[in-house]
Amino acid sequence: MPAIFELTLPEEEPIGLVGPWESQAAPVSYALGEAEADPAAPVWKVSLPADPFEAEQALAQAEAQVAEAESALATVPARLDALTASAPRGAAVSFEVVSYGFEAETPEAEMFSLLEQARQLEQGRGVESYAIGDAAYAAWEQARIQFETFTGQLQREVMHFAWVETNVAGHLLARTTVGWSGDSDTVWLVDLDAQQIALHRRSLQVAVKTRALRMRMFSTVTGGAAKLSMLLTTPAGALLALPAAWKYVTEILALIKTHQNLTQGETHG
Amino acid sequence: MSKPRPTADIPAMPDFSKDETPVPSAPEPAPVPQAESAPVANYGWFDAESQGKLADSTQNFIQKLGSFLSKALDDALTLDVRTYVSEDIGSVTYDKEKSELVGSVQLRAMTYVKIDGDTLVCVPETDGELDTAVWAVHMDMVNQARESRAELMKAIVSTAGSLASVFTPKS
Repeated sequence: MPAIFELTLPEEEPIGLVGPWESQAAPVSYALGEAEADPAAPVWKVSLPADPFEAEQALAQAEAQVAEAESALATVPARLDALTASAPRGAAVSFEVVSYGFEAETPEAEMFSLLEQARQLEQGRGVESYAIGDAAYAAWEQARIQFETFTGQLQREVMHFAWVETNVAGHLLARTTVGWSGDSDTVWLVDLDAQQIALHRRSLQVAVKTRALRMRMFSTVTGGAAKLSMLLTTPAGALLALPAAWKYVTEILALIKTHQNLTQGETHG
Repeated sequence: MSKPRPTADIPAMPDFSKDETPVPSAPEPAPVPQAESAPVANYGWFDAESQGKLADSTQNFIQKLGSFLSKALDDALTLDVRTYVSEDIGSVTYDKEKSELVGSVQLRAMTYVKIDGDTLVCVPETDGELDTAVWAVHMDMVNQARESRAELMKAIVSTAGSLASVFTPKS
């Protein structure tokens, strides 16, 4: 059985998942027994294989994935600085043309394409001019909705304790409720050995790091939008640039995740 | 279908439309009753009602973050870590009112640290002796909680800072 890292949010699919985490359709099964988390609490569930070596390997991989995502996110401000320094600016500049300077479907090309939409909106192109099938506008709108949804999810995450649980071969070993301030309650199954205890500690660490990473994603997007707004002309530019910044950040993280999945596939293959 | 976009300051693209092969004109369409609303996508962003939707949701988050930050700062004055064991872990639930795990659990260790250094510790014992195994696990969790708190606070503070840049009009 391969290791599974699942995040469940009440009644919705998590947006902007990074590292090893996959979304789990709510309501989650809380494994063995009738226990239920606070219905509003995010649940981070780690399911590991029975083989201790494979379980440790899965956690090591997850730790590396989160660390890589952290590193990639940390490069975003500098990358945006470089892009905005070299990009032409002004009301008459078309970012769509700027995006042609990048290979199609790269994060940069996608971002400039959305920034072009922001520029056109900024220049007062009304909604009536967007015919059905305007793919570029639809992409901008989709990014806006995704960012808005992500923001809503983050709001709920900061207001609640998170549940982190570790299962090995379908058996629940431990559960921790952890608040943002670090307060935590952990319940361990009796008579666990040191290796099993370590598995939960590491699972908890991966979950907590990912939670902080999601918060950093938000700040990277908002900080990125402020940088991109320098290419636009009105004070509302940063708000209009949020979808472009969101797209840029999530595309970079998606590339990292795809690469990780491929590497992981090769390792297992 | 993409609409023409302003491209001043950049080289103009050749107008290929002039070189297009002439296409026979289609027969004159029969008059069609005009629909009440034109087939235009209303994406809901720049109409009067929802113009500030993104701003609202982000500002809403700032407000929530603000109240959360003040609560988190209050919470940060203490650190509360508890370690339980259970033979039936599936029956354990979290009681929000009491802020503790309830059900078939046994509290084995507890650490409560105040910012001024005052510390309350409940040490696990078995047959009158310190249960070193549980104690070691508990201390690991306390250290992990300290690290988590530092990391998360850093993320929150950085978020608050970046939000200011979005809502501060540029000069």
